[in-house]
Amino acid sequence: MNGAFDLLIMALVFASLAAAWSWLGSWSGIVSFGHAIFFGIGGYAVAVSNLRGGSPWYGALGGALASVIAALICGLLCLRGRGYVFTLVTLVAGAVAEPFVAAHAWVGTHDAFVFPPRISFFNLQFDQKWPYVLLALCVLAAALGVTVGLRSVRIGYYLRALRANAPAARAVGVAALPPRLAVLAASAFVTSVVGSFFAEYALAVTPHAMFALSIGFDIALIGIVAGPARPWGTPLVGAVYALVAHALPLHPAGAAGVAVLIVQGAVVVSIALLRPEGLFAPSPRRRVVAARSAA
Amino acid sequence: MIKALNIDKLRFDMGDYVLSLQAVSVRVGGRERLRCVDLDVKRGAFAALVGSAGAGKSLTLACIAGARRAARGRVRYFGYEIRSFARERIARLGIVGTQSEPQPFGTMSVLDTVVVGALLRHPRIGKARARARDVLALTGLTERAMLPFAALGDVDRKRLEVARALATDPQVLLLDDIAAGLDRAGIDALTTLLARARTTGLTVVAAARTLDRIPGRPDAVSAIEGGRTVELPAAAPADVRA
Repeated sequence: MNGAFDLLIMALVFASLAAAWSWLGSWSGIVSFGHAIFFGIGGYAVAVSNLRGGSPWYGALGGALASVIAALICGLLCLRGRGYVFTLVTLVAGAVAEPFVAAHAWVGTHDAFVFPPRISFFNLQFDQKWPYVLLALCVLAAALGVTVGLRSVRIGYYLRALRANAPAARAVGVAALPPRLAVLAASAFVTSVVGSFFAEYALAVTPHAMFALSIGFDIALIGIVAGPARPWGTPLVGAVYALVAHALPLHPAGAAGVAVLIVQGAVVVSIALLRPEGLFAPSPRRRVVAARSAA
Repeated sequence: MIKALNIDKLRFDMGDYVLSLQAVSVRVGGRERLRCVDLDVKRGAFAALVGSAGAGKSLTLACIAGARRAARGRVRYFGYEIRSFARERIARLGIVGTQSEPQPFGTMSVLDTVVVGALLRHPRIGKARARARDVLALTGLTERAMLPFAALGDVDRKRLEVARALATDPQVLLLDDIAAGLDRAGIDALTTLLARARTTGLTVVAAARTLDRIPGRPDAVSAIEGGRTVELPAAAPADVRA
């Protein structure tokens, strides 16, 4: 194992996941706790293609489309209004996902499925680590590109308006559902692709590694802490989180686990209190000063 | 949407009237707050709706804009029954309202706020920005384009509220007590602005407690008391025009 590469891959994976989450979570302010489902669908899709001897590229594409369909069904049912229903549904679905997957032998086993080694570009397996880093960088660049692009397209304006003042946005003809559905679908697609990549890098899937509720929680907390202010904010916090999580075991058993959770919670709560608009938003006081001087 | 409606063909269905309310009633929290509101607005007119506080002016406008749903009665727009339409759909058809308390989009700049309105008819951001700049010029906000809402004065906030609505290229503009909190100079500024906006044939329905709080000279005045439209004392409109 090459520790530095593993760390780098984890940082890039979490940066991409966080970026994809922010399109719905930060831009429209509707929190999803269930993004691990898309991550897991992507992972299990390449696991199935490995099991059947097919190419994981197709597996990843199929998984991404399945994730988009799942996202659209959920979004159509509960993305209207202020989004509390969506948050609750993703929470419940996220909690049910892991036991549900573990209860079915999707890949011939209820537990860990290890991919057979078959190194080739077509099989998305490499004997060195740098091609994985390159791929992860490509995915992150694409995700960042979408975030930056959102700032200057209609959907981005509509999401910001809806988030800030939904009645006023509707009054000038902004329907809430279509822009939210669009970013949810894009978010599910990219999250699924990252899940496929992660599974192919680890060369194994388990229900816990791909579908754990804690993955969904981690992504959501990263997004909430970072806030919508800067496009690179969420991926940066995601990468830092991945590095910290790698250095310290964030979910240990017993009393140490409780202590870590308390510290984690304290950090999140204090950031939420001190910077309600996220870590990278200008502080409220500075904003007032800036507004006055501009006037 | 607006093209599909083919407004110019339908105009003849309702004569010169663009908007027609018949026996509209609205229930709020189990109480009937609007009992029987009748209102006809001619195309291109400046219609005023006056009445004391709590008479039902705002509710009538909310009912037209789709923010409230009428329990009974007809709300017709170019002959179409729009009573049960969602707010954003009504806005897309060309009826846009403003609030007496200007509604910002958080910390969004003046330009971006107006762009949100302009995007309704111009989906491409470049066109929408150009349209928004035109509207900012019309409403006298060009120099404030990059400021956030918080940095604006009272009159400019009202201008922004009107600008965002005008950017959607509406057929009908609803002004709910737009003069609230403004002094005489502020109302005069809005009067000039609206006169400029109306050169394109825009229909305006403005509600206020008294006629001197209406930014402009209304062509028609309706009064509303206790949730009903009432006959006006014949002298009232003439007094204002004198």
